[in-house]
Amino acid sequence: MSFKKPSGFVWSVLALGKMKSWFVAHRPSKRRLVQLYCALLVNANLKGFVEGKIYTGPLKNACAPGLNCYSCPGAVLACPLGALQNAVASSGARAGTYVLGILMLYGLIAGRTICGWLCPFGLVQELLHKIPTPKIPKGSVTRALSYLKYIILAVFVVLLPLWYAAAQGLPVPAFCKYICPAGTLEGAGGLLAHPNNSYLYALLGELFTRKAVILVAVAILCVFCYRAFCRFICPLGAIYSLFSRVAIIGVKMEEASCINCGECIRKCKMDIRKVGDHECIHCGECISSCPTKAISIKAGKIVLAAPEKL
Amino acid sequence: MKDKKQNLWDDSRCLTVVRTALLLLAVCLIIHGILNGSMKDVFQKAVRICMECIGLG
Repeated sequence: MSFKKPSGFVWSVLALGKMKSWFVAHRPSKRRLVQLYCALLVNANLKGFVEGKIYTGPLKNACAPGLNCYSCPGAVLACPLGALQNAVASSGARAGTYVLGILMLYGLIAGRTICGWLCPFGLVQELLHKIPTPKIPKGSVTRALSYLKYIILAVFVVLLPLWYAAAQGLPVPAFCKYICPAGTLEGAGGLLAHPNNSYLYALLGELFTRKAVILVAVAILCVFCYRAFCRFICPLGAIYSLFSRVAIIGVKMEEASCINCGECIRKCKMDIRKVGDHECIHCGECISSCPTKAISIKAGKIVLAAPEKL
Repeated sequence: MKDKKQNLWDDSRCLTVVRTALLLLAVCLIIHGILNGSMKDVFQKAVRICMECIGLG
């Protein structure tokens, strides 16, 4: 008995079939697409990457909702956290009410939905976590660590900039200077990659080395631990979490239908105690896990995502 | 049942009041910020390369 060797045409059809099934299996979710579009939208100055220059147009009067360094060549909006630190540092001269108002408006409209759906650095963390490795499960340690971001907010975003302003008369954004891995990745990465900015290499020193080490450490941690920066470090998430009870858009639980099975909390990768609390980033992953279909994403009374819509 | 509904309505009304108050406060802060020049501060910072952000400052 002899088999006929498959022709090239048959192999191509088989390969195409495999590719199609791979694409179907890896089709991005609606949330991933929104994250991608948002990351592109706030970094729409593609000319900046080509020229190695940052955008200087009028859009930079406004702040981006998520963490996105304004020194990234692509950034068309200001970083809300950098702007807040500068406002705090120069509060002796002028009250930074504009940034406070913007952050309050964002927090009120979407709260931590911004972290889950709009933050470009959140997208980076989630993509890193897709690398197949053993993962660190959430637990009492990660829950305790989730309060670290409030300490970082108080120390690096408020107290240190105030101290620098009072002691040295300098507006120093301490979080950007000592920690922010988004600044190192987007700002330093974007600018230093361009040959026109080779003069910046002469300025690299201990501070940059420290920030680069933090970036690498955060990136490695995110591979093993879901959204490690977002959960433990990000002061912007800490600010938005203060609006969790009043935010208009977000995951809402219909208390009357809930049977307290805890399936939603088990499914969630964040350190939540209940759906929609200050740690919830409103990703909506829990919607499909609810046996009584009690969870949905709403904007006020308008249902944006419900089990029957998924 | 009636009490529960009443509480829910009260909560919902309370939430609406809080949201409206916060929204008005946010808008007032933004307008104040535009008038007192803090929006210009944001712009001035955002259009220059932030040396601290990229680890050089």
